[in-house]
Amino acid sequence: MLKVEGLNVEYLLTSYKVDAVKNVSFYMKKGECIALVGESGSGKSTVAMAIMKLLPPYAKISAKEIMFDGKDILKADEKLMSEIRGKDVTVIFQDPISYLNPIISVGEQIFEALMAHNSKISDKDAQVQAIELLKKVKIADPERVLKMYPFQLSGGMAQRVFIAMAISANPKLLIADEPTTALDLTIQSQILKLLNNLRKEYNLSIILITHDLSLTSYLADRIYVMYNGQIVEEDTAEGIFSNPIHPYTKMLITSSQAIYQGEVKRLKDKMNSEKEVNSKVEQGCNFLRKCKDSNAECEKEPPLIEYNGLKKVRCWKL
Amino acid sequence: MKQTIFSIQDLKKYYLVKLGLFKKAYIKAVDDVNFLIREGEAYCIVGESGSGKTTVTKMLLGLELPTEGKIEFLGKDLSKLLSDARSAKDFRKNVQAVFQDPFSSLNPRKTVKDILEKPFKVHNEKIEMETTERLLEEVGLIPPKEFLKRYSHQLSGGQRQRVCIARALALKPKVVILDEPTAALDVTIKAQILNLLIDLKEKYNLTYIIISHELPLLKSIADKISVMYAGKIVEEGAAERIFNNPKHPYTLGLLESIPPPDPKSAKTKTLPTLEGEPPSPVNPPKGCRFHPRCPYKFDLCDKIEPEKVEIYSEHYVSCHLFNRK
Amino acid sequence: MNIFRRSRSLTISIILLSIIVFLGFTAGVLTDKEPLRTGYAVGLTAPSSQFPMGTDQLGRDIFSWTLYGIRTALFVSTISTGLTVIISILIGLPAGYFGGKLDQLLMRVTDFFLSIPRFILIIFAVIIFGPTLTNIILILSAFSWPTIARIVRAEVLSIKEREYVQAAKVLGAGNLDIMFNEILPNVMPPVLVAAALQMSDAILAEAGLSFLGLGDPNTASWGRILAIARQAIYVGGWWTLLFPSLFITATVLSVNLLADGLNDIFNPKSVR
Ligand SMILES: Nc1ncnc2c1ncn2[C@@H]1O[C@H](COP(=O)(O)OP(=O)(O)OP(=O)(O)O)[C@@H](O)[C@H]1O
Ligand SMILES: Nc1ncnc2c1ncn2[C@@H]1O[C@H](COP(=O)(O)OP(=O)(O)OP(=O)(O)O)[C@@H](O)[C@H]1O
Ligand SMILES: [Mg+2]
Ligand SMILES: [Mg+2]
Repeated sequence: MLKVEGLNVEYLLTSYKVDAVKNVSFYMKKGECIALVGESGSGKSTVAMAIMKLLPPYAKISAKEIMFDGKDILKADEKLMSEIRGKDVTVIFQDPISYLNPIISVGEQIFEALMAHNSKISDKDAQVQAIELLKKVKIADPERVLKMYPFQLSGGMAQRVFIAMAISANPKLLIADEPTTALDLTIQSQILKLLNNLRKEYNLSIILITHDLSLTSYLADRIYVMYNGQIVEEDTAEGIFSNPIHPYTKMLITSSQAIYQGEVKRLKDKMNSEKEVNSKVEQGCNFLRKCKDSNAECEKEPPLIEYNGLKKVRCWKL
Repeated sequence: MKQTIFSIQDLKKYYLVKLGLFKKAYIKAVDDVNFLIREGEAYCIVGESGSGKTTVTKMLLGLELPTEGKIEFLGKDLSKLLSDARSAKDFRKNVQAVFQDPFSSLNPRKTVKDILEKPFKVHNEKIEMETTERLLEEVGLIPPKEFLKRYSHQLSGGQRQRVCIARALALKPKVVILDEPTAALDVTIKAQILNLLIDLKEKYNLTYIIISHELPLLKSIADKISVMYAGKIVEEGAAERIFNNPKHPYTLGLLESIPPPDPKSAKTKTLPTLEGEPPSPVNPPKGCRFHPRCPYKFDLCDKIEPEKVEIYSEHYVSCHLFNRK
Repeated sequence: MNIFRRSRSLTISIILLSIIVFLGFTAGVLTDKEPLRTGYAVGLTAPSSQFPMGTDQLGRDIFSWTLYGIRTALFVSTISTGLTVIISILIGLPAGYFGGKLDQLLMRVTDFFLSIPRFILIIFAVIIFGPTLTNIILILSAFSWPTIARIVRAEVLSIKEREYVQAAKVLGAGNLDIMFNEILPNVMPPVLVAAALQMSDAILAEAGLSFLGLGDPNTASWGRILAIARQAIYVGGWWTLLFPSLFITATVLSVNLLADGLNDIFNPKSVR
């Protein structure tokens, strides 16, 4: 369904460049859900935008292969891409508000999304379907909300309106970039359930981008942990939790447990000792600066090493 | 007794929205809210999406005028305070905010450097090179030199959020209002920011008003928590009381929805959710606003609005279950 | 440069405009004839090596006239457009930012100006105040701002809801600071696009006025050559029509392409 092989993205800024994504490869089959988790700024959104070819003009993409549904994305022109974007793949962007037009009512924007999918839809049907969609994402008074403008919505409502638009097209692949950051826990679980149902009903494939490991365990078949532009660990959800190997993955899990138990203060002392242990080194493993049990070998960059079947880890410690 | 920073009485905000040529509706975003925020306290507001949390903070910041009710800052009426240029400037310097959406709260035509220098310029304070760099370092944007030159759209979501936090802390304010300050951050950085906030609070006796839906996070920092539902505060109390001894059925539902970080239970267990329709802010349910979704509902609930009851020192609940009469 | 690679319209327009501007600036070198002096030739003369674009009935050199016409066209259009933009900002910015009564008042005025036919009004005003270059510039700006002011206001309305404006308020920034430092830079892109369009309008308006005999009699303007062409064309003087029209078209086209190009590159996401 989707195969990404050796993806690199660089942002060429005027005075220097940012290596946002380095040699990222992953695949997914139809109906699967994969999750990209990782540090803030590790390149998760960039991967998503690169697949959709929505990066700014000064970003340089190179890859061995990006194939979606038999189409070669790398070679696709703008026309084919806009076809793919409207119908086959939709994205829930991390910043929904900037993608909603501030001076057009919510209703009209949803109608437009419905129209893009089915141009023959009548006004009445569009209205009915739009209301149905808003109900699915648990928005109160959908009829009223259709007539409101994006700035009159609360943060969570705007995010849900955007989710509604993204699923309205019945895409084959949904890229959800932090889809529930503005939602409270009860609505968050309802949205996750909704996504799961879509998956079962329409065989929807999902790329879930998130920093919240606990979300991935409910939806994702496979998890890719990213750190500083690279994939550092890849495994099934169970595998990541029960047997984390890369030190960053371990850190993620201990941190989320500490937060869950309200013990951030104790975590702090531990983290302080971890932080910048090797701040002098420049080369080698990306995580070296924060890694507490590194040795001489770590000054060479580790490859993604396969480890007992499914798991792959980028660490010499294997 | 600690000083009262904000005192809010019978606060209401009704938004008038046009729904076509002749149709109008009042959105009861905040409906009769009362609370006190004391110095050095981390006052946290949790609640359903759309329940009016952001609206409350916008009124505290003087960005929206209340429809009804009174807001006092250090014993003085907020609207009067803001109408006088001198005291307004003072208020602005001491009360800072991080907005909910990190994407639209940074000007797309400014670099991070411009953004972080702005607070100093506005208040005519000296800026040193290290100041902005230190601010960035504190929120974990390393190396700071590289970030200073960037525009906001050249940052990732979490990086923007940290710039917003750095900007709010720049002037060393006394009160910081944080609307979902860590929503876009991964857990390791979340913990780092949380630590920074806790440190500053201990060092400078800062007062925080934090809105968050990440309840577990609040365990580490909150002194007091109030739970909002459909424009009202349904429960308010010390943080330990809310976590260990929650009373209101909505609070119970919320606490049950916290996903444990352990997949073995999560995968097998279906996600716990609160069933039922979300409440309409235009025509909220009669009586108790939570009654249509409440598992403990009885005959009073859809008729009479429950009063606020103090069931323990400074622990208030608005629910008929706890009304002894 | 990357910008040019991204927008073909911009590249074409800049090349065209630089040629036109170059010709305008070097007019004094390219020809030794004065633009409005009669008697270089006797009667209508076809293009030749001495008169590259021929002469008119009174023996005026069309080549020199057309080249000096560039100066008039660009001078009138840039200055009047600049003034137009300034007026539009001064009206649209506070209207959108403060809203309420002020907005209603300013927009009533704007609507009034928009509702009356602009060119007829300009003609009347020029007749009343007299056809000097300064008057024409002022009159063009005085009647052109409403469209751009509306654009400014609409942009301000959407931008002032952005949280970064509220963030500036919370920092304690004053209204002027917010309007000019936070909002204005974000309003400029569509305004500059509109300004480029306005510029082509102004070129046409100036030519139109001169054509009707309402231009400044002491300046060389393309419109006036066209007025002459109206008669000359009947006796076979096609060159009086062709060359000035060619220049008007090229200038207007390149300014319009400039508007297009600006539109292409002003997407904020494309700023490095
Ligand atoms: N337009 C851009 N120009 C330059 N650098 C950029 C740009 N967009 C992103 N970056 C940089 O590329 C890196 C990856 O960014 P990306 O947005 O993909 O991160 P992310 O994993 O989505 O993080 P987050 O969880 O914080 O959203 C970051 O270091 C960021 O600063
Ligand atoms: N400017 C406005 N005009 C009209 N209605 C508004 C406006 N701002 C907010 N509202 C409405 O007020 C209600 C409360 O919004 P608010 O932003 O306070 O919610 P919230 O509790 O912050 O939710 P979230 O967690 O989703 O951010 C919502 O129903 C929203 O639609
Ligand atoms: Mg991102
Ligand atoms: Mg909010």
